[in-house]
Amino acid sequence: MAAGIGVVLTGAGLLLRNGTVLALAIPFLLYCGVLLYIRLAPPAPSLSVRRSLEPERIEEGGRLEVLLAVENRGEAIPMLGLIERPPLGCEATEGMTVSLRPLGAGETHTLSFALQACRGVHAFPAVQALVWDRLSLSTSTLSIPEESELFAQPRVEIFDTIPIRPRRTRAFAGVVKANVGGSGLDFFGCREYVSGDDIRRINWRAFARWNELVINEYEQERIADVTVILDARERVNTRIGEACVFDHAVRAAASLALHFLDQGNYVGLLIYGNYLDWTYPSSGRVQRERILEALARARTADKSVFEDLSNIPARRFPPRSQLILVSPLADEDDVEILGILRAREYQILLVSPNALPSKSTERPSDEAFSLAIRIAQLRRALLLDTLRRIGVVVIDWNISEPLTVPLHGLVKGGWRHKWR
Amino acid sequence: MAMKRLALVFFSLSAAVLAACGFAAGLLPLGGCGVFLGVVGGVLVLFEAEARGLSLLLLLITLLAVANALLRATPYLVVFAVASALIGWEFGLTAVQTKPFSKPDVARFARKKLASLAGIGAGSLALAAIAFQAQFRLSFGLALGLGLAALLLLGLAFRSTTTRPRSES
Repeated sequence: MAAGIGVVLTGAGLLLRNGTVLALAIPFLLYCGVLLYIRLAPPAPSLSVRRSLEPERIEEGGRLEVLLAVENRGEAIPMLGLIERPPLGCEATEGMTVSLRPLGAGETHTLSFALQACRGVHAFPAVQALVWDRLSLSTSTLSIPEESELFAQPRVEIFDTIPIRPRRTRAFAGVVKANVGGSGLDFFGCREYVSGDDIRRINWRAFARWNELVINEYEQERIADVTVILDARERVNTRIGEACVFDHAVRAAASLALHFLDQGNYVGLLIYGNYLDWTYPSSGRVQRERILEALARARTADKSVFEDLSNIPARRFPPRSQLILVSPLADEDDVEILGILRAREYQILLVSPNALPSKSTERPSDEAFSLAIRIAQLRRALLLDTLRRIGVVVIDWNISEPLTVPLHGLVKGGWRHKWR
Repeated sequence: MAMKRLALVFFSLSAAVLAACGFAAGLLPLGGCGVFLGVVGGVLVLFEAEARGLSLLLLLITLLAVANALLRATPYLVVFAVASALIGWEFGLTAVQTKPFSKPDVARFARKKLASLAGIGAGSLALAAIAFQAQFRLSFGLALGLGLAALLLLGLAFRSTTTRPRSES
């Protein structure tokens, strides 16, 4: 720009044969001359960047320390501006993410700051560096890539016990009631004594009554296949202010999956919404990582193919296993699909996050709004009642309270009768 | 903030000098234009206008300076005004670049930059003074040489903008 004005002024001055107009070009030409002198031998900064995260993995909303070390491997830089932009969904809470200072040859400058991250896998963008020459006139912008990923896993709640009763269990010992007599803790029934049975299990009262040896049997406890299905359809996951029902649903799914994994069960995960994000059932620490990563990346989506639950790939679930559906549910179509799954002998536990109670307090003076909320609540109650009738165990979860509360209510309210 | 303040000072100084020149010559429209450009400059700098806005302002101030020069204003004052506008423009552009940085760091940088730009401003005035003092005849050859040198400078300036330094991670 300055060079252009300088040239035009020179031309105008020469054409008009006016010394003052020609003199006006002097500041521009001098400025451009100096700039050109600098740019003909531009500073060649050679910067090396290292980023370290402590810890590399946090719970959503947690805090981590970031250290960004920038080493100058070239000539001294008269003025260096460093800009470290936190990834989307992260916020710098402490420390400096930018700096403007000279950096000598071989010198290392470190930026230290704290980040708070929401759920997700966050990739850091490249570090931006602005390098000024010794006269502070010319700037070079560098983009220095340094790949780092921050993993913010969903917040997990710890539960005491969650009663499940799948129709089929695996052969290995666990904590899930297998509905099969054998060794265990809970009394299951009696049978006739067979040679080789443990005599400590003989029911002496029955012997006294019938004069026949009868053996007490206890219910076997085994591990089971559990599939957690997270409903990620945009249309069912409403947003209330900053928070989304989906965030609560993800936390619930993570808590439930980890609970059953910690008990030694085989746990799979299906995120239904954007596509069929399927984590094959397995157990152990690796599976725990797989599930947490899948849930950290989970996002809602609005796809017409997943408008209702009819595309749930039931064939992928282990037959007659336990399904845990975390979904606010949409309409009667969803109820029908769950009915089909029940008919295929899957046991279904529905954890349904309910945002309506917290929403009803938003506009207490608005009668139309209150009426709409009441209608929605009645419709929801009707859906859940229908599901209870077809044998789905329903947890109607008010998201303003922890999931432990309705689960505790389920255990207290005689859960054995609920599983059919 | 320091960059913005300096940009405002230099743009205002330039506009004030040109307005004063206009009013002194009895040309109210020129003086009015100077005042108007001063206000526009203030607004552009305070609201952190893009480079295009600041460049347009520099162009308008230069045009006003040319008008003043053609209407026989004091040459030193006009050159001073143009040099001030150029310094204000440079500070305005740097203000946008240094926006993310902390105030003390930017203030330190602004002082360093002020020294360089003051040098260019003083150099411009000195060169103008030499040019005005030295009496030489503007021949066709000299004019052609000056024109070609200016064009060469322009070409080199454009070419130099494409060079990029290396970086590694």
